Amino acid sequence: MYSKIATRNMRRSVRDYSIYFVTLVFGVCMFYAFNSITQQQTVMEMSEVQNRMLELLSILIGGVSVFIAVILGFLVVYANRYLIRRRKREFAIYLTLGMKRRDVSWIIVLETAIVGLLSLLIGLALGYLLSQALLYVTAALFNVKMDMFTFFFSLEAAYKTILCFALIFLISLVFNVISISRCKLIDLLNAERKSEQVTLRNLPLSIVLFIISIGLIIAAYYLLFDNGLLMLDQEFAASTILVCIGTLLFFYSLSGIMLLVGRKRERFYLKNLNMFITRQLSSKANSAWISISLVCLTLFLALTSTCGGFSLVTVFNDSLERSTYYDASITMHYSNIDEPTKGESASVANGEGQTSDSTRSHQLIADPTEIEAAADDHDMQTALNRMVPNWSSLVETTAQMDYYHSPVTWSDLFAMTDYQLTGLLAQADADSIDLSMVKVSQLNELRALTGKEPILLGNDQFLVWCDFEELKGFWHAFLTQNDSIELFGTSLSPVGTELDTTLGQTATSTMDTGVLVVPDEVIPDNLQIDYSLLNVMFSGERADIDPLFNEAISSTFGDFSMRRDVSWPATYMVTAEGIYEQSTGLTAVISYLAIYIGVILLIACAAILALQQLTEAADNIRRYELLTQIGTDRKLLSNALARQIGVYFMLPLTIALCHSIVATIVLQDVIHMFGHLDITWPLVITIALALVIYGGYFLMTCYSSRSLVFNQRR
Amino acid sequence: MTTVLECQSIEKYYGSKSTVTKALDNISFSVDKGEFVGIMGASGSGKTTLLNCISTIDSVTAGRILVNGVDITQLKSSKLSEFRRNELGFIFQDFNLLDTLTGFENIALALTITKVPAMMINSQVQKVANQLQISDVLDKFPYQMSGGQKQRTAAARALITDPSLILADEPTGALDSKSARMLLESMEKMNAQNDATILMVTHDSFAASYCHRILFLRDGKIFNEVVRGDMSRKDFFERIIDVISFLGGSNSDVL
Repeated sequence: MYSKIATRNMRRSVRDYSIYFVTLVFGVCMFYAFNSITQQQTVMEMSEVQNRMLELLSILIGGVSVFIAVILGFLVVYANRYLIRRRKREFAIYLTLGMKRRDVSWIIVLETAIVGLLSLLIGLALGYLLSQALLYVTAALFNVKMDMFTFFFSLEAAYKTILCFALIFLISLVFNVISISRCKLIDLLNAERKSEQVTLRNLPLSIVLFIISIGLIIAAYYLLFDNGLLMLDQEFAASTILVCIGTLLFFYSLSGIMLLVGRKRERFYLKNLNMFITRQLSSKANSAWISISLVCLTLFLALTSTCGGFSLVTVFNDSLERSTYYDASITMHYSNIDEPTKGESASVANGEGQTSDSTRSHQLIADPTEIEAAADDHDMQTALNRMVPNWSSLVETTAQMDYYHSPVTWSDLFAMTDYQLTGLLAQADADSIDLSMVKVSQLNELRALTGKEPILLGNDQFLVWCDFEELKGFWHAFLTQNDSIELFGTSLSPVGTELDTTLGQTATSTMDTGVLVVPDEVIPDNLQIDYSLLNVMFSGERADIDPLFNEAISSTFGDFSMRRDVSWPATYMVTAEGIYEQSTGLTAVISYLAIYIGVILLIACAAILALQQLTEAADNIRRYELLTQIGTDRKLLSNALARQIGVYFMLPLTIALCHSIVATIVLQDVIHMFGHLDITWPLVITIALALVIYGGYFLMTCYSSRSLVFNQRR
Repeated sequence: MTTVLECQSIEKYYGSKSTVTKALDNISFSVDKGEFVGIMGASGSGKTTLLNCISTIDSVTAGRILVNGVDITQLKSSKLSEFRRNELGFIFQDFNLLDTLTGFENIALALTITKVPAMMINSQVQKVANQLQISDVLDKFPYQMSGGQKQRTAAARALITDPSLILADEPTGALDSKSARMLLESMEKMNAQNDATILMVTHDSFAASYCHRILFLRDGKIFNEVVRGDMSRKDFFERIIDVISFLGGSNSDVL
C-alpha cells in the first residue's frame, strides 16, 4: 500500500525529481569511474614508473574522494530538504486523513530507497562505461598495448561507491524523517499559502556593505598578487579569508543594490517584466545569499583547480619534446651528493639544482674519485666504454661537457645591468652562487650532436649559453649593456647579443639558466671540474635500445637513486624514455584529478542552483498564473523565466570567474617557472567543461520550470 | 451608444455525453459603453463560468461573444493574451496583487506588458492612484496594505490601461463593509469619470445596488433583469432584495 503511494508519487513528481536524479546518477558514475582507476593495473601491463604513478594517483583519488563524498552528501541532504518542502501539503493531507506520522515517514523512506537504488544502478552502469573509457585513455597515455575488449569492472570501487552512497542516503533519510516528524500539521497545511513577506534590507547599509565587500575582494586580490602563491604564509591566509568574507558580504548586500540600480534606470525597470524579474531575483538573493556565496566559492575552486591542473599538464608536455633531444644524459658530480644544499630558491637560480661552493673546488684534489677520473683524463666515454657491457654497440655518439666554476657570481651580474627580474626569480637568493663556464670546443661537440654548425670564438670573446626561457630577457640586457667581463685576468667581450640555446641535457624541462662559453685556453689547466655531463645518442631506435641501455647501466652501477656516494664515472643518469614515462604518468595523474574535482564541484553547484530555481518556479506558479490572466504574452513570460534563471546562474559564476582569473594569473607566473605556458588549451578545456555542465543544468532548469509553470494551467 | 460586449446564445457544457451539466444555457445579453452591469445569482448559477468565458480564461461550447465587434471565441490562443491585456481589466475577489511588487509596480505592470514607454508610466500611475485615493500606499507592499487599499490598487491596475471592459469578480467578497463601500464608490467614479464599462459578478446585494443594471442568473439561464433607471440606490437595493427572495425562496445562500 505505502510502496504503491511512494511509487505513484515518484512517477507524478518526476519533473521535480529529474534534476535531482540526474545529479545523483552523475555523482555515482563519476565516483565509481574515478575510484576504479586505482584498479587499472590489474588489466594493464605497466612499467615500474607507471605503476608508481598509478599508486600516487590512487592515494590522491582516495583522499579527494572523501572530500567529494562530503560534497555529494551535502548536496543530497540539501536537495531532499527542498523536495520535502515542496510536498509538505501532500504530507499534510496524509496526516489529516489519519495516517500515522510513522507511516508518512515510511513513505519517505521508500521513496528515498527507490530513488537511491535506481540512481545507484544506473550510475554504476554508466560508471562502468566511463571507467572502460578511462581505461583506454590511460592505456593511450601510458602507451600500453591492451586488448580492445578487455573487460574491466572494479569490485572494490563498486563496493566503495555503494557503501558511500548508502551512507549518504541514510543520512539524508534521517534528516527527512526528522523534518517531517517535527513539523506541526498546521504549518504543513499552510506551507503553500504562506505569502512571502518581503523583508527589505536597510538600503544605506546595503550600499555601505557592498562597497566594503568590493574593497575586501580587491584587497584580497592585491595580497594574492603580492604573495604570488610562493609561500602559504599569513599573507595567503589573509587573502583567502578576505576573499571569503568579501564574497559573502557581496551577496548579502546584492539584493538591495540590485533593486537600487534596477529602479534607478527607469527605462530598463519599467519595461516588459523587468521589474517583476528584478524583484524576484532580489528577493531570492535576499533569502539565499549564503548558499549563493558558497556556490560561488565552490565554483571558484572548481574552475581554478581545473584550469591550474591542465596548465601544469600543458607545460610538462610542451617542453618535453625539446628537452629530451638526447637519448640519455649521464652526470658525473665530483662533489658529494649528500652535502647539504642551499635550499629551493638557490637551486632554481643555479639551474642544475646542485650546490657549488667555490671554496670546495680545491679540496677534492686528493679525493680517490678524482684520482680515478684523472687516470681516464676525465673522459667519461672512455671509462664507460671500459666498464659498461656492450657500450659501443648501444651508443652511436656522445658529447661531454665539463662545467667549471667561474669567478663571477650572479650578484655581480645583476649589478652590471638595470634589468629587473620578476616573479619567483626575483625572490631567488642568487647572491653567492657563481656562474658556470664551459669550453667552446665542448659546446661545439654538443652542437654537432644536434646537427648544428660549430661556433668560432675569438681569443678574447665569450658567448652566453642559456636555454631557460625566463632568463633570456636578462641575458639580452646584460649583453647589450656590457662590453666586456674579466675572467682570470683576461678581458673577454661578448660575441654579439645572441644566446646559444643548444639543449644542455635531457630533462623534464629546459633548465640551463646561463653558462659562459669561453675559449678553451682561458680556463686554467689546474681548475677543478665541478661536474661533467655526457649526452648520449643511441645507435638505433630509442624505444629498442633504451631497455638494453638501462639494463647495461644498472648492471654496472646499480640503482642511481639509491646511491649516495660519488664514484667515477657516473653519479646519475636519465634517459629520454624514462622522462617520457614519468611525464605521461604525471599528466595522467593531474588531468584525472583536475577533471574529477572540477566536474563534481561544477555538478554540485549547478544542481543546487537548479533546485533552488525549480522550487522558486513552483512557489511562483500563482504569480505566473496571474500574469497570464492580466494578459502577459506567453513568450514574454517564458522569456522572463529564462532570464531570471539565467541571471541566477550567472551571478555566482561571474564572481567566481573574477576570482579564478586573478588566481590563474598568479598561478601562471608560478607555472611559468617550469616552462613556456600557452594558457589557451587549459582555458578552452575548463570553459568547455563549465559550459557543458553549467549550461546543461541551466537548460534543464529552464525546460523543467517552463513546463512546471505553463502545464499547471488548463 | 456603442455596444462593448455582446453575448449571443452562449452555452457551456461540462461532463461527458451521458451526464451533461449545462453551466451556461443559451445566455444572450449586451453591455453598452459606459455601463456598470452586475451579475447576481446563487452559488452554482453560472456567474463565474460566464465571467471566465468572457475573460477568455475558459471557452464556450456554443455561441458567440463579441467584444467591440470582434468574436473572441474565434481568437487564436496567441491572440488571446493580447486581447486580454488590451481590452480587459480584471479585479479579483482575493486581490491577486503580486506580493513581491509595491503598489506602484503592481499598477505599472499592466502598462509595461503593453509596452507603454517607460517615461509615460509614472504620470499615468500617479493619476489613477490619485483618483482611487491610494497615492500614499504606492510605495507599500501588498502585505503592508489593508484589504481595501489592496483592492483599490487592483482596481487601479485594471483601470490604467483604459480597457474596453473591466471584469470584477466578487470585488467586495474579502472586504469589510467600510472598505467595500469605498471600493464601490471608487468603481462608481471610474464608471462616471472615465466612462469605464464594468461587468461585476457579486452576490452582495449592497454591492449590486451600485450598478445600473443587474442580470440574475439561475441554473445557467438569465432569470431576470433589473434596471436601476432613475431609482435612488436605496430603492434599487430593496428591489434587488425582492428579486432575490423570489429567486431563491430563501436569502440564506445569496446574501
